Amino acid sequence: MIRTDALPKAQGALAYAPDVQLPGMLWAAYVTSPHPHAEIRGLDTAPAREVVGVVDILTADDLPALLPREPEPGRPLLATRATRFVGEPVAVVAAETLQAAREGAARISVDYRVLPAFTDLEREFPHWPTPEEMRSHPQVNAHVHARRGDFDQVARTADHVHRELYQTAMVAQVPLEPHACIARVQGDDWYVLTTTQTPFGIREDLADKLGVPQERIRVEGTWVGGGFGGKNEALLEPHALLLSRRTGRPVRLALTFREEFLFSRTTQPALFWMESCLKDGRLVARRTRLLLDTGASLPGRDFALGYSLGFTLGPYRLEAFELEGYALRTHRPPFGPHRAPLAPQCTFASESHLDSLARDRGEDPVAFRLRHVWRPGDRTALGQVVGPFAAEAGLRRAQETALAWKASAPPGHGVGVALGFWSTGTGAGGEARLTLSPQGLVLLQGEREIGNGSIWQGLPGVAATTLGIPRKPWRCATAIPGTLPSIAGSGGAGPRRRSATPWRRPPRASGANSPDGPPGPERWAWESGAGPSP
Amino acid sequence: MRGDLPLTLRVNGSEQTLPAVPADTKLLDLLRWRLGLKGTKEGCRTGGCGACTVLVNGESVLSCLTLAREMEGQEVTTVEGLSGTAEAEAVQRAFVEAGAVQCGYCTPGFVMALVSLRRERRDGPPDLPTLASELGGNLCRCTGYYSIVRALAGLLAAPIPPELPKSTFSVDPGRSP
Ligand code: FES
Ligand code: FES
Repeated sequence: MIRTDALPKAQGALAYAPDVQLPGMLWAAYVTSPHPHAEIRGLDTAPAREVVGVVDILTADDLPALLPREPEPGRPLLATRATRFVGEPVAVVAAETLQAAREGAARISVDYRVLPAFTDLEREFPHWPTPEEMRSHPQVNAHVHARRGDFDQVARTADHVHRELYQTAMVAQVPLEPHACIARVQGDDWYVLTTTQTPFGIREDLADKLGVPQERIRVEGTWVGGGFGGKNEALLEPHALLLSRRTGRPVRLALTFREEFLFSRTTQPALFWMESCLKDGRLVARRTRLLLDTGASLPGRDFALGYSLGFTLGPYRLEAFELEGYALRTHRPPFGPHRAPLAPQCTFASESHLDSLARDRGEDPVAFRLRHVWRPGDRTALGQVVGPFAAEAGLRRAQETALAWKASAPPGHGVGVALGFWSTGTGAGGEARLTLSPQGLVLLQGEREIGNGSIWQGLPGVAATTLGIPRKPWRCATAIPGTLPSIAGSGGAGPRRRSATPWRRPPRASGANSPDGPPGPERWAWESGAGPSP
Repeated sequence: MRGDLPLTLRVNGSEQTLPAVPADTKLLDLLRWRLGLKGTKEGCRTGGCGACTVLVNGESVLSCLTLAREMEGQEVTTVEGLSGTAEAEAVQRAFVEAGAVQCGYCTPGFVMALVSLRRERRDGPPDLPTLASELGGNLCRCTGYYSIVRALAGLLAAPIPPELPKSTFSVDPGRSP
């Protein structure tokens, strides 16, 4: 299938957030912490104010006057008394030009007293900790424990227990398009145009962080130059909005690539203690114990643990399992999902462990997987019944291909196999709406096309097929939050599945902000395959 | 400001004179913010990603590492200037047909780099491995590069190399048990 957005993208004809300029716009730049943990003893902005073109400087001291309530503890918009990770924003400078903003940011001097930092999980935990150690550990954010059967009991009667430790490193999304937004606050209208996977989520997050009611916030998404899980949270938007509020002018804020690695949300290191029991040559039980570095994240949040830990069991038949994990707060950048929250890491540990188990037994790794992989009708660890499942067919094809590759592999090249799976379309719901408008038949939905085609091409396709109407001419529009009920963000193929099932007659919309009213670029972002939003 | 000087250059075939260009202005910013040519994308700004690739006198350069004032009297071509020409369209079509445009942020840079590479080898088409390795300065975070290699193969009418997975791993759910 030829993507209709592909050619205009290849021609450079579509506008992304970093391409947008509004009249009278100010440019902003961050001052970030060079230390993972340090006390801020003083902050001198005077030299920055002397830079020609600098208009405003936002620091933590300005926030109480701007925010109607105290921010959630541990989640400051700007570092207050101490910095919690390298790259944490300490101040933001707005100026007439980007050069002036950067120059101003460089001249702000911060007096730091460096404090001891916890940044190395492996050093802190050479062994899986005892429950006593963890009960009193000050850095524990969350704890997850789940089991079926009695792993220890199975282990006692097993022929062999295979034990290994795996570790994964920090990984940042770094989409090729850096985070960028333009904010414009006029009276009670808090408008921000931004590159995001989830305009609705950003609005909720902004309401939370700024204490502004959701109805007053308008988030407009642009074409997204890659997200990979990193464009789900309001990161720059609060700062840009507050600067716009203070200066009365539109403010553009974008991350540098260095900031992209540090201040955007990254997946942090994890340690996996893996144990598998074999009985009569069969894998019967597995235990995973996971320590996850969640960086300078909030206490009490589970993050990816509960969601992803199950992936360490793989899509394999097991009689018993035990999963236990701790999320630890450290002085590394706050945790965020990178191409599925922690699932790639869990799959890496699970599949590597399985390979080494097969190798130990002298068995072909694909054959070993084939003996254990779920078949339709099997039960998953959580008790769901497996429906149509392509893993067996995939493994058989991999087996054939691997042989061919092995035969043709150049010297020094190896061939391996891994089996991954992913759940999609679960959890948060979504809604899309079809409207016959003066512009034609319009599909209104609330998610952004992140590059895999599931919104731009997939949704109209599913709708057309379901309703038995031609695929063209169609327009796909993105709702500004407020015009549709809350909609989860774009991740993987989830949007298509969520927004497309089930298709039914929508309830009649009401209110001035409904899609029945006259559409305008301020309310809906119109898109067409032929060029940038009109 | 002190040090600002006028600059005259040709951009996409027409002469441009800009009254005051600071000495430290990058070609990237000049094109995007003073001439409004946003098809040239800003990625890393440090020479690492290729998103900002333009042609200077027909050769590809990274506009984020090029000072605008070095362009005095030079001919600069951006993706806007090239789009619509046969050589650009061939490359753009190859990318579109191979599914090599996902988010598309990297694509204009790839197009510019490829057009310049293809011009360099007029006496004979470069082979696929050469072309692929010479595009090493262009990053794509979405595709995993395989579809881009497929686009290159399409462009060269070359077979897709066997050591790269063809559609081996695209398991067809319709055919699963
Ligand atoms: S922006 Fe120029 S190489 Fe990345
Ligand atoms: S298509 Fe997104 S970076 Fe290449």
